[in-house]
Amino acid sequence: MSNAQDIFRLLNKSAPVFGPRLGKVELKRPSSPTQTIQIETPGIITCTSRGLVPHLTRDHVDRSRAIDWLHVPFESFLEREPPIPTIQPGPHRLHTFLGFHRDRHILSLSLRDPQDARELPPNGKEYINANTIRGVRKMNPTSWRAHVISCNADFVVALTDTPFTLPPFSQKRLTKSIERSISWLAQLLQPFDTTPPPPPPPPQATSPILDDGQRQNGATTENLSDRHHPLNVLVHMAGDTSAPARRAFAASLTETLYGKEAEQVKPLRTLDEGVCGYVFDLQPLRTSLIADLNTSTTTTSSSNSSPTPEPEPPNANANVTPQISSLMQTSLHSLPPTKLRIVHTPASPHEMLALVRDIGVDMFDAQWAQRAADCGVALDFAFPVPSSAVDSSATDEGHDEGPDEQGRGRGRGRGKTGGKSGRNGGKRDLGHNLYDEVYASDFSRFADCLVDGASASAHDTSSSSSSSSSSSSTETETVCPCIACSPISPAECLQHSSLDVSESPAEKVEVDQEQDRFEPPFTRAYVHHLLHTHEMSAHTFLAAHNLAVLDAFFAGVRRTLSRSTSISTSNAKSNSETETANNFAKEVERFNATYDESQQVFVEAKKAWAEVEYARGKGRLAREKVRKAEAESGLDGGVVEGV
Amino acid sequence: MQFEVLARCQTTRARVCRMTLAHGTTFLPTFMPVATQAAIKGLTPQQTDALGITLILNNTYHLNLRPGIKVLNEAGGAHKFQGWKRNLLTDSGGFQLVSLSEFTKITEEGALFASPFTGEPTMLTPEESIAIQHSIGADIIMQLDDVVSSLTVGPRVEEAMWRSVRWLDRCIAMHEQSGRNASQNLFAIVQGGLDSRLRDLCVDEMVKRKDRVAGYAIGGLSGGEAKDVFWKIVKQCADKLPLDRPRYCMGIGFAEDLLVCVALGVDMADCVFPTRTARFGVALTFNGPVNLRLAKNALDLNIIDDDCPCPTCHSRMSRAHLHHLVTIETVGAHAITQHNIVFQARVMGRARDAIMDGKFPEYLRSFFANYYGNDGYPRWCVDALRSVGVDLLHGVDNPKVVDDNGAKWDYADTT
Repeated sequence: MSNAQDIFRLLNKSAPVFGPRLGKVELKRPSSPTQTIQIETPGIITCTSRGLVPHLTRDHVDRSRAIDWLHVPFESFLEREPPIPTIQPGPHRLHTFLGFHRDRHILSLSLRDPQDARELPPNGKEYINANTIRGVRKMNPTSWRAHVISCNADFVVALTDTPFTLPPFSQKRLTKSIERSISWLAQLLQPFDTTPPPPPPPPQATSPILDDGQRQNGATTENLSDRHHPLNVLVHMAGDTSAPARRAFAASLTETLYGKEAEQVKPLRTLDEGVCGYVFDLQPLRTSLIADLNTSTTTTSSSNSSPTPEPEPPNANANVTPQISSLMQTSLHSLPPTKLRIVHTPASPHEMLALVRDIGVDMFDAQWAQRAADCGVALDFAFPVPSSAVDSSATDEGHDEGPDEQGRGRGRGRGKTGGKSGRNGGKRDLGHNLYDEVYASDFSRFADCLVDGASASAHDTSSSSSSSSSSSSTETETVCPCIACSPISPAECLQHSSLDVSESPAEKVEVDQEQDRFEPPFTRAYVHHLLHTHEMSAHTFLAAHNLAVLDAFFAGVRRTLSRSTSISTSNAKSNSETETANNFAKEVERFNATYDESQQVFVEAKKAWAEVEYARGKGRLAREKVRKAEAESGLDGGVVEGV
Repeated sequence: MQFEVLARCQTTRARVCRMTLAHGTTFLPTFMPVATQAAIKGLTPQQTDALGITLILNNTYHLNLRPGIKVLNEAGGAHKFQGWKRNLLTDSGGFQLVSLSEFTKITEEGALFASPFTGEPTMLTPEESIAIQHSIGADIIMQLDDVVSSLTVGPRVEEAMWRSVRWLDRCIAMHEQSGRNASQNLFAIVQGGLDSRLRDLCVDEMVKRKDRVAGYAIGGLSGGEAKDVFWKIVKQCADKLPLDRPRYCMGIGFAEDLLVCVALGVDMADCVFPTRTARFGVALTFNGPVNLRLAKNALDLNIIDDDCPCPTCHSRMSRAHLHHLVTIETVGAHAITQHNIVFQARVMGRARDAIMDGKFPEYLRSFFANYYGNDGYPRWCVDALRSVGVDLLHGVDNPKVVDDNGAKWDYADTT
């Protein structure tokens, strides 16, 4: 059974079980010009909320190059019966309903939202609880299977019994969790049609993907066409913080089935044969790990009597990446290394890099970057660390981009940015908290380490010769293609009367090339203004930008991994592998030494965000002035003047 | 400004004009979406551009507070600051002084108001308003006017009208000495409350200054006055305003108001209504508003309007999906905002086509039949259009006419 290998391919088959790796996710799409969708790994999965990418309308999603794989939590659709996507006409209900394109977008589906680790009532033997704004809904494996088949997503995560009651969890609870999750996975892996025995694979099937998928899932006649592709099942690795529980879960996946159990998932011999990838939801795991830390280091906190509404639990921001890494290794140790490894809700790029390096994770969701957009942070980092970033952090000075456009460096808010980049031993922030007053008249583009479209194409035309050969300068020349940094004036505008038509051709002649239509990038000053005036488009720009930055970050990760492999393709494999890993590890160290992992900038941004939320009502400007005056007098150490 | 009347309706006072400003051509009549704080709420300038919008509105009062003149000057004006490359109009802030600040006191020198920052008394003079609008750099700027609520009666109304005339002179003087006449166009604002005598006087005074103003606005309306009074004032002003100047009716945005005003001779209008109602989940259609929050849309997989070219309808985003989003995810607001802006543009674009083709009365009749056919025609619309020679009820069997103001509601009850 090689379903997983068809959908996911490691570029180097001899990669070690744990270590950085390159791969490719490939899904057949007969309708698309290239017949397939290909996603290079390691890469990102865009998170959705209520079925769409927060802040981005469909036209923006279409323009984003970072968005190709999207993860859709199903639970919000349980607010209505029947769930709406399941009644959408057409063969690809979820794609159609949500407006994603079959030839561009891969959708994965899970019941729960991986970033929601809020407390819920205990799950039952035959159901788990889902959270909707209309209350908690129970979902059993039978209904889940029906919804999944109806939605026809590209990947589907089997129901998993992750407890969302308060940790820590007893051994008994974890045993139950594993048993239920295994049983629910088996139910999902039942052949599509259980009444007639699955016939042998039709010989005329040409596509190996379809072919294997059919055999695997027992899906029969329908999936000859593109209408019913096989279910690509992902399994969440259960076991919480317990290593023995994780080992037990992995063992249940790979053990050969007999009797009734074997009959249920026929023709699979093990459950793992029906699984094409392993999923790790880090959010609940982190909650448990931090709870463990707290029980072991401190006596139970008396937070119940605390007057503040949401007291930060101790160790709330503790770095638990090493523990996560070790638990993931425990889960994956005995499983085939060739299948997809997916991580939801990583806490930082540092954690993502660690998990690429120490585990070989293939896909990460972008929740961290998307959340940054929610609270007003414009991400600004790159991998490998650009030399300019190191220089400027070393000199603790505003960063000059060299041959730059008019006025770009002006008022870059040096003083304060410089001061902040000095935090945690001179480390740089991963982004800019655009609420900060230092950006009020900062007319530079969002990111220093990525170029905007307009200046990149201006640079191209001015020095028309092949600038790509000069590798020294091109390192920082990666263009951020997002709608904020590389806005493109529309090729066609709607016309509302015949007069409008007569007017447009003159303009149209000049604007055939996309790169000629780049407009100047949106500035930090503009988004600063939008954030403080509570304008929603601030978050639109930031969401698109942050996804682009994270996408570029993983492009850099892949570049680093492929560069070191390509050097020694024909040489001894083992040598090149360790060399790759070592080079990559060195770059990771450089990244860790350059960028601040504590993410103080997020703490500040969230505070500012909350203040604006609070202040948007009547009298907001008066309150703001008071704050400003206080801040200034605090800086001067002087007396508050009655101005 | 280049301003040219391209066609006039043979029946009504409606007309089609080409208005060319520093940032391109805008065909009139048109509706201007409002970007109060230098952003159409939720949309990027490129999105607005793609919707076929060529003229939007910023607010002087708000931009003066945030980001402030210093930042706007550093940015090189509001166009560059917000990345908008087509035409822009700024309101003078007179209306906001009254509507947003409780303690505004109008003196001859200017408007004295409590600074929203400090609460201390701050003076906004006509000269200062123009100076701020110069920093913003909009293609059309408005005089500072003395605005009183349209429900105000008594001597205060007349006082405000005369003061608006005097302030216009100061705005003109300030604007002319700035040397920005070529790139920025100053509009006068006709005041006078609901008193036809005062409106006449005001129009007469302002038309005397025609050579020094680029266009005229009809202000002080849309503040809760009876619709029957509203249309009569608009008609009175529009009738007397010069043919070779654009006429802008401030604060008008309901489709029926727009078309009545166009028939009375109005060229431009603005209102937050279509974008604001979008954020509350109401989509506008030629058959009336659709409240997507209502449960009847929860399982409705149809799009808002099959004929609509907006990105939302074009991508076939269903009513059910919008219902799932509105007031919870911002994208719901963005998607309906795109749709509603296009709806307004279509209402006005179709009016331009109809006027050019000599079929404006037919357009009015078919629009109102679709929009109100079942619920009854608002009497004020029937009367207003009769005054310019169009009988909405002509050829309608058993026409139903209602006396309310004609606000269309989408009811939860589907019967």
